[in-house]
Amino acid sequence: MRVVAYLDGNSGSMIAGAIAAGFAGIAVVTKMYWRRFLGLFSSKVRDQGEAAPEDAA
Amino acid sequence: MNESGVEPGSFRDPAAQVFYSGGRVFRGLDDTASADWTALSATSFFPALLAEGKAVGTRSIELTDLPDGSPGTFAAVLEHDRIPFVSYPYEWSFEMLRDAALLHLEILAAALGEDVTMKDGYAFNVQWVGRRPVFIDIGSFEPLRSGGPWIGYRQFCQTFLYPLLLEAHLGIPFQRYLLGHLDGLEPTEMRRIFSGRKRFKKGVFRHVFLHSVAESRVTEGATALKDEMGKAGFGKELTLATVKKLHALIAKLRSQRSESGWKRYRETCSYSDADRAAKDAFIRAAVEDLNPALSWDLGCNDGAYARMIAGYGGSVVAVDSDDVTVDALYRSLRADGPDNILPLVMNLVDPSPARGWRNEERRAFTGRARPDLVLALALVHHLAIAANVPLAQVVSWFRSLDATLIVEFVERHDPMAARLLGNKPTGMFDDYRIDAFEQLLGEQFSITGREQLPGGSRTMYVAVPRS
Repeated sequence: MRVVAYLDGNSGSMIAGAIAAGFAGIAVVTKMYWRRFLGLFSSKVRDQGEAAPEDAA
Repeated sequence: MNESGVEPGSFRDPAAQVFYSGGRVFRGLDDTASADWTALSATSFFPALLAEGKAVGTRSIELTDLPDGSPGTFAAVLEHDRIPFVSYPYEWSFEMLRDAALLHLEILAAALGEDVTMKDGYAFNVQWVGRRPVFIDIGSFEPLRSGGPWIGYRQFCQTFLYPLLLEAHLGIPFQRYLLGHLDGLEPTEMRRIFSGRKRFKKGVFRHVFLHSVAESRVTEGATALKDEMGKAGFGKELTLATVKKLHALIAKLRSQRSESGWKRYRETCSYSDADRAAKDAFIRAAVEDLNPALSWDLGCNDGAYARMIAGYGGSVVAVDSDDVTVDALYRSLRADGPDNILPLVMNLVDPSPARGWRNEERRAFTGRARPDLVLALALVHHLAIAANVPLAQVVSWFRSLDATLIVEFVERHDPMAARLLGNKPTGMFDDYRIDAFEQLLGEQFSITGREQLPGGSRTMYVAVPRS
């Protein structure tokens, strides 16, 4: 397995790190949660969201 | 110190391990880290960092050139220049930590420009070559492989930004907090410290308050979240924006205590009295033929004697317990040099202990190197009278440092000693006498030089450890 990062980034710090980038970072966080919200009602978006972690692996 | 074996503090990143062999410093890399090193070597920013002395001198060596007995099996090995004296962020002054933080951010910004990032944001990854901060964790660089925020942001906040905010906004020295928490201050701790209206001080709301709120509400896996944010559009431009905002914030942070200490330093730095001239001449004569590679000035105050010793070319570590004094010394060195003095904040009655995993990750002050020369000028009366350390223990501690010693004994009738004695019960320090000190010193050292200064209350000694 390829070790990408040894450090536990902490999920809350990921959000905080995005907010620290300013308005554009806040916009990305908003977009991510909006996509999740839409995913609750759309099987297509939900399927894409569920596929995302596998895509990253 | 000519140690061999694995560096006890190098275990957190499994891809790269620092070890010593034959008095040299190496970093063993696994396959991933080796590929990262190849990519790093091909960038233009990294050679520039090396040329400017902002990253520790590093070169790739053939595995066959490793000294016999080197530990481990590696895909590749780097050799680093030695750092003259290792120090830790809990020994740095405010301006030192601030400059180290700015250096870290400048390096990350340069790296991001060429699609390279850093795995962490740890203050311990910066060391000092004299008065210059130097980034040492070359294994921290890796190519950008996915989007999402910088994974080292939290660590950077905890070990750089939060300690600086404590001092800048509240006037609280950060050193003891970092000594007690090697991972730095937690966002939730900081949120409690910066409660009420304090949360609206510069940088606090965004990096402390919102950070703490996010930490308490978001509990899913960080790796998947990072990837998801990358897919939502968080690319390197936004990481660069974070870095620039942090840089702008930290560049503006000031410590009121530091500013007033620096003003005082420039107003009161004086070298004029007769005792001072005689003391200067005595020390110069003692050091002339010694050529010390490493000297410690213990209780350095304004650093005048550290500067004198630095003139002989070796590295000088200048230690004082007052962080404001050390900060002023650092600022003067940053402005005018010389380059070979490292100022450190440390209470010599309570010097930095061994810390971290197995008490080996961060070494005790006296366990890091053996000095060739120790200056203890106007220090003994502080240890013996102000801190109640028995005179015999003061001398045996000097002996344990195993170096040529230049020591000044301040007699009881000297105004400075008299002031300290005035705070103590009468008779408590009857044994604080020059004859008692001289006898103790002679038992453990050969006294090769002695001179009473013209004022009649201070005597200088050169003492060489008896074998």
